[in-house]
Amino acid sequence: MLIMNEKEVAESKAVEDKVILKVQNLKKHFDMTKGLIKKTTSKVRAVDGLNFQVYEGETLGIVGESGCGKSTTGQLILGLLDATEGHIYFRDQDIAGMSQQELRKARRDLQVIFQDPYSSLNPRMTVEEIIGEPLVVHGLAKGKSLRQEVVNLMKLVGLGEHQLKRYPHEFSGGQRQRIGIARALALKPKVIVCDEAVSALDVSIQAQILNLLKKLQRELGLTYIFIAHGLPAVRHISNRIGVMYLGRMVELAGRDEIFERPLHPYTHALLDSVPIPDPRFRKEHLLIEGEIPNPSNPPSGCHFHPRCPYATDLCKQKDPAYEEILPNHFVACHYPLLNKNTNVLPS
Amino acid sequence: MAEKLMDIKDLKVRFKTEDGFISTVNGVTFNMNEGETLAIVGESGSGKSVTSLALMGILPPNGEVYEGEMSFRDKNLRTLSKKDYRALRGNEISMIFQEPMTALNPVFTVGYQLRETLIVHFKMTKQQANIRGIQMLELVGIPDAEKAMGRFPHQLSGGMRQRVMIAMALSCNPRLLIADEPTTALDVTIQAQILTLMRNLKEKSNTSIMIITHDLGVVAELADRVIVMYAGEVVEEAPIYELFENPLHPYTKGLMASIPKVHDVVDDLYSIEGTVPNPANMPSGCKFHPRCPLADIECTKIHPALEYVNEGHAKRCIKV
Amino acid sequence: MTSISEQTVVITNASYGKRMRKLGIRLLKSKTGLVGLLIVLAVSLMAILAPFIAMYDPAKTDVVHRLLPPFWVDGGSMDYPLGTDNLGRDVLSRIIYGSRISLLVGISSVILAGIIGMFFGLVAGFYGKVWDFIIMRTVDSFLAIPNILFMLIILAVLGPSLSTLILVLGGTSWVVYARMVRSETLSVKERDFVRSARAIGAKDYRIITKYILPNVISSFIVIATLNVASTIILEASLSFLGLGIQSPDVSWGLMLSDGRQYIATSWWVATFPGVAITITVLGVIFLGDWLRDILDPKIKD
Repeated sequence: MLIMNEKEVAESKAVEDKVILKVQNLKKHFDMTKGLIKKTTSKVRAVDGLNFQVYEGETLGIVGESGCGKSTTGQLILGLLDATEGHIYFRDQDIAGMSQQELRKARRDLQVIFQDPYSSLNPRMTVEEIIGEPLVVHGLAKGKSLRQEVVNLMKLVGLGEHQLKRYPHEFSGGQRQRIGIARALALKPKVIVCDEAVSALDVSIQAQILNLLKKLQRELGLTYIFIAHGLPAVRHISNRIGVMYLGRMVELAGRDEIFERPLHPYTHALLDSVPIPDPRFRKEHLLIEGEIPNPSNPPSGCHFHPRCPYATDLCKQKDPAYEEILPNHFVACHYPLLNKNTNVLPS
Repeated sequence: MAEKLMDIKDLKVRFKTEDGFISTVNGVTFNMNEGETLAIVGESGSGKSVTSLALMGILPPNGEVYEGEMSFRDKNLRTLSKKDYRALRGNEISMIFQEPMTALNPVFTVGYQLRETLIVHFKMTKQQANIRGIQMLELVGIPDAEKAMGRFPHQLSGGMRQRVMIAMALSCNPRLLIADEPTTALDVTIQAQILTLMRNLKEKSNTSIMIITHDLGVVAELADRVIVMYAGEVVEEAPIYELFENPLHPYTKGLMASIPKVHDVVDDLYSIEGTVPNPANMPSGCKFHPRCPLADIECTKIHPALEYVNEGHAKRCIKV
Repeated sequence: MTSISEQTVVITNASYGKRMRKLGIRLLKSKTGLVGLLIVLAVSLMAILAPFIAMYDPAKTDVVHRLLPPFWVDGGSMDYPLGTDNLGRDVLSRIIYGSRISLLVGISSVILAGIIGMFFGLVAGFYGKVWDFIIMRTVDSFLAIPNILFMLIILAVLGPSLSTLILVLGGTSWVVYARMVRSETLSVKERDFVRSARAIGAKDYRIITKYILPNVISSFIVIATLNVASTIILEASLSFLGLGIQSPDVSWGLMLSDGRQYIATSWWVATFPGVAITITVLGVIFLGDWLRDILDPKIKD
């Protein structure tokens, strides 16, 4: 494990100078309205001050439970939602401040794979139309060359040419997800946001898609932002993993580091909750009390303090800063678990 | 030797569709002992949920059991009258579902629904039922149980709803609790709470639990014994440790190798090629042969029987 | 539970040709659907071929043969199978010609209303905000005014004619489509394939026409079909009240109106156009219900 850890640190150093995406103080607040005149009654702080960067060629996993804002983050990066505040730099351009026209251009470099393979494909379009659509929209190919391009993309994701004229409902979930991946690849993007891309698939199909994503990354040099609630899959595919809680990033570190040495009490409990598929490692889980608070009315100070076993008055009053406490290990906590064995992996 | 609770032999279930009958459970055989926790593992289309619905006698109107035997304690479930089945479901077998919101009635309070069950089954007075209901909610770890009795289902979070479902299912002291993907819709920290709760209940009471899931992690946490289903058949059956240490059937092995594990990271996962077969168009011979790395010509012809290799460990494969 | 729905999905995964054949089989199986289709086809043929099948000019008066009963009643003859009206016009020929106006008014006002409603529904649902507010409040105000009264006032001001009738019927019933299209648009808009179209960089116009429109059109067709029926009835009502079709044109509603005074002595003058309206409307409704049955499951999958 230690050896892998060093290798990984080395890997992340090698790409350090090539930051492809940088998120700065990103916020997204949704207004909750009530009544006929649409009076704003409260604000849901879906994303509340995010800072992180993504390196070229890596996979950054973003995990968290429902309501943590991970999907909103993905949509903000894709420009599908307007940020309330903050910046998203893709190379040197700020996506958050772009006009619709500029955004359309930027989208050639930023693509997305959705969770539900049943709702992410237009049921009224054939596979050929779906995969070719990005090329048509950007006027990159037509006629024979379009057809050829689509066939190449289908082969790349493991589909056959004979399936060109079929409609999405004629495919199984796994095949549909392949169609979605082919569509995302059509514009030769640099960054792909995978929004729960394997969560809805059966176990055996999940492995096929995870392997495909890894293969494509190796071959095409893609950068992934892999958003998911399924921790084993995130751990499998990511180089670094960020943990979100109530709209904030609470911890971000290398994928082994974060499992072997989580510093935030929430990360510790979250990772410890994952059931390990081996009865020899049955254990008592660390249980967090209570439920995730309503994001329209988050707790003061550190959002996690009402459920945190280590919370003090300081945690109730003051928001902890998000800082690099160890090399490449960021955490937002007043009392990080530095002197505690927090390894959640069985030995 | 523990007493036998339930016995299913060669169960077959089919559904009437526009294209004729489609059989989704094709000869399932297994049994359960008192106090045991049995996991039924399979992917969608494996017939695991249909098997449990058949057992509960709550198949959808177009489905029917057309062959096989099902007995629960001394009762033959296939000849049971509707009335007796209802009594059995209320008193001896309970079920919890993946999405508790669909199983709870949204227009009544939690307390009302709990009390109703208790009043109907134990002929309790309203006061008695109220006290017992609060006890049940406390048992499943709901804070401020008295207040929770007055809540409507939509006012509770997903984890709390699942707890209420469990409390209702346990309120009649069932011999058997069937849990169909009880934690699939929940967040992972809530899942840990519910799994811990079920583990404690298992230790405290003598209720047998049948847990139906696709998640091998959940299986490893809870089960004493495991049945692996594929395409409407049992392909492997084994005690929990035996199954994880020495899986025999290529499908079981493939399933285990294809899940990402937090404690054992590999570069590429093993993947089972192809997809689950369509029940209207099943492969000949062994149903797994089109996806099996060991398959040869023999496998396309012979439909293997479920054979015991040692006590409690059975497999349906001629190659291992 | 999941496994059952997964399987039904698999089962419906047939090829296109097989599906079309299945649709045909379903139509034959659904008796009401088949009856509806046959009625609508028959009435349409009647309208198209009116000059060839009608025995008389519908406007030709013949006072000598006024108020003759149908052939099976004493005094009737096969010369006038359904009898004649107060001006001696052949009831059957008038019904045949009347089908032209009834269908023309029914279908063209539905098309007009459909286009207006579809446009505003898509705009309101897709762009939301101010557009949604303005359009939906307009829809609400239309719905708040009694329909017939509103139409009567407009027709009284503009003067009745075939084209004003179509305009008025279309111009008041578009709200139904706008509401329906808006709510469908709102739900389709939230589906991931629309998000993915945006992520690809597709412009609004393309998203609306290629992603949203094709997915709301089947519900739209169902509603539109059913509305043809209610528009035929509305036309009849307006003509009956004297503000619809005017002589020498002929429509079923106008015939009802003409026959009203003679209902006690010559029941056939008003009864047969009434029967024609009922049968046609029933046929259209049957057809619409069948369309709903076959088009709706597809929206879901």
